[in-house]
Amino acid sequence: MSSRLGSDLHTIGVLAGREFKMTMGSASTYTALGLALGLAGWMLSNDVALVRSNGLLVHVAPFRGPLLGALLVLSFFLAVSAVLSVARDRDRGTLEVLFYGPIDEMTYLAGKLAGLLGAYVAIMPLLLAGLVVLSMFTRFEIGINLIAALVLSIIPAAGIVAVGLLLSAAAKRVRSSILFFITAVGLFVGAAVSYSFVSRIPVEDPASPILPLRDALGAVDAVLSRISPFTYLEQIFDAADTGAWTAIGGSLALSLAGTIIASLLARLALRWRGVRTREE
Amino acid sequence: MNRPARFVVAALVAVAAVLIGFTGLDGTDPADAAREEFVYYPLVTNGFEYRRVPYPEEVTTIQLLAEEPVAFDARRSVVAFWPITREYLADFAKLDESVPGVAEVIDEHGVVTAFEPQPYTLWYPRGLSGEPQLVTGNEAQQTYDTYVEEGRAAFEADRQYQMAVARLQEQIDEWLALAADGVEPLPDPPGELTEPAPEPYVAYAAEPALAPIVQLPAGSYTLRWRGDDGQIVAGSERELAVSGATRSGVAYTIIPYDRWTQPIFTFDPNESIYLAEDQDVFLAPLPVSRYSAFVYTRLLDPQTIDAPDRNATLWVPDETDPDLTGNSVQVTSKGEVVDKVAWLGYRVFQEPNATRGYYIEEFEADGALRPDFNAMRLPLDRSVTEVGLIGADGHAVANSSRDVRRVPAIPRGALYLPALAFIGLAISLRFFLPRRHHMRQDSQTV
Repeated sequence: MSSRLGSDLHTIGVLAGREFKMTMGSASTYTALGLALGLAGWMLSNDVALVRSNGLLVHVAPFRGPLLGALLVLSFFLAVSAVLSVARDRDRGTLEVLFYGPIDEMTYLAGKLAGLLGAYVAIMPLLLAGLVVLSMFTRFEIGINLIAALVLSIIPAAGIVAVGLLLSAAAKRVRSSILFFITAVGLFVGAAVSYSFVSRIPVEDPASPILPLRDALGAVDAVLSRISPFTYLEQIFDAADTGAWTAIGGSLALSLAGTIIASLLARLALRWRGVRTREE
Repeated sequence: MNRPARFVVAALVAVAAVLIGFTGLDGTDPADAAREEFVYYPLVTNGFEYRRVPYPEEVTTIQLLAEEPVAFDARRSVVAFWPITREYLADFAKLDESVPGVAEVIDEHGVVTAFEPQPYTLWYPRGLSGEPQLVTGNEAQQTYDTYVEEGRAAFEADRQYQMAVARLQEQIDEWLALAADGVEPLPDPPGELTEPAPEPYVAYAAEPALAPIVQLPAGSYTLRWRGDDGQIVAGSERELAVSGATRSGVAYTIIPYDRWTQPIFTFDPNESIYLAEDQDVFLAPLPVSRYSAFVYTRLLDPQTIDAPDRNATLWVPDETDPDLTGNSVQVTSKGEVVDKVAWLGYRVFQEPNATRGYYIEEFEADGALRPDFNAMRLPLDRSVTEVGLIGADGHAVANSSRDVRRVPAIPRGALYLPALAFIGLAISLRFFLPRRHHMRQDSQTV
């Protein structure tokens, strides 16, 4: 039993190392990091312009919006990497070759998850370094709570990777996995944006069809926000930033539970879909 | 249609089905039809104003501020759900039947306290635009009687003054008629009115009424209404959630020299003030207290869907026009006190040749004139890193400090340098790393 566990851990380590090296050696990783810092820089430049035009600005955490924006960009990149990961291995035949060896679905997915999460952890100091440079330029304060939020974002990031791996395992090809991912993101974002838009429409007649539509979209948004790992990233970030540490525990636990459920579902999907390359 | 596309279509159909299922054929649920209910109609407060807020049976929790008196009123009315604002509303125009009785409050230990009806009035000493006070007991009638007496005296004084003005005007008209007729010799014109106009009387007191006045410390209670027949009125039980401030502090109104009519506020002690390098500002402190946003927004609007996050907080001023004579703002530079700026009056002088058409100077008392605002002027010294309020007793006021930072004039493009650095690294990795290195990476297997 212990030798089997040791062997599995070794396999996970090797797969994770491979995934980590591929991600950290890829130009797309640094492009995503550049885009994340570009977004942060743009948001900060708006605040700097506000100081210049109004003469002053009062802010509790000027880096809150830029850091959250940067994390969303990076987590989106992470999700895409995860989505492409399994489907690409299946398309190239790598998956079939791997499963002739001492690898099962769980060790394979655990290796992928660990590798991508490791890359996320490695990117964080680079992101923080970029933000420190921006802080030196603007004299805007970063704050210890935001750094804590950055560290805690690892948990929802794991959830994002797990959901990406689930979509990838369920898809037959790379193209299908991307379509699944776009649909999922479209649903999550679309529900929230639609509800926000419909809520702002003024209603004067209680018989207006806007009312039941608003309630329906509100219910759909409430359900989807419970499932979306991006929502947990935002919740944990907000709670850490405002120092609501008791609320963080609940969100972290739910996010972790979501990660485990998504991983188990990914395992089932991989078993159902199989590891062989599908011929056209 | 291939499988992925079928999956997408299936997902969209499922979402549409859920939406249709929720909407139904019409939005009206028979269970939401109007019905007669017991409604509390108390005069509640958020610390600044008092307002009558209906609590139908569907609103099971009444939010109150700790140590603030609330006048409880009980009615029977017709209640229906209003879908536009998602509230249960009482239609007092249809039915407004008073339910006399006594308010009973049960605390966490089961102790029951009865609040008998007593006289009360809403007293506005500085007029209806000022903050009201709920005056109770014998003082309520006295306050009202004094208001009536003073109001009548002020009215009479104003009437006498208006009559004197009218008499003077009559004399002026007569003199003008004589002057127009060319009467010689023309008498001296009537003199100016020497008596000053009486101060307008703005205070107001509502006619006293009877109601149980409930004033409780922070905690959870149960409220019920015992009717005149000695029985608990059905539907009268509610939860009373009494909350106090979680923290107190000092807010600042920041008045920029070049936009003195557009002040900016800082309420949260964790906020920092970021100033342009040459910005001149005045600080006007204001005592504030922190409350749960969830609780505070429901004091006057219990059925609102706003502020659902129970962890969110907000800061509320304790008073709107404090007298801070003797207070000062301590200015610090890197931990070392560099200055103490006193609370002074300032006046704005219009000057066409000035840069902004005006200049601001320290106010010097001159008869009836009053300063345009009272504040403490922050020194222009760029090394200032922190400000904090020092009370009249010489001690620092808790939660009054703010970090002050001067934002340098940097080119906007500089903020994209870190991004460009990583994109440059990405380009190097993609195009300039040897192909042999890429091929070695791709061939790695377990």
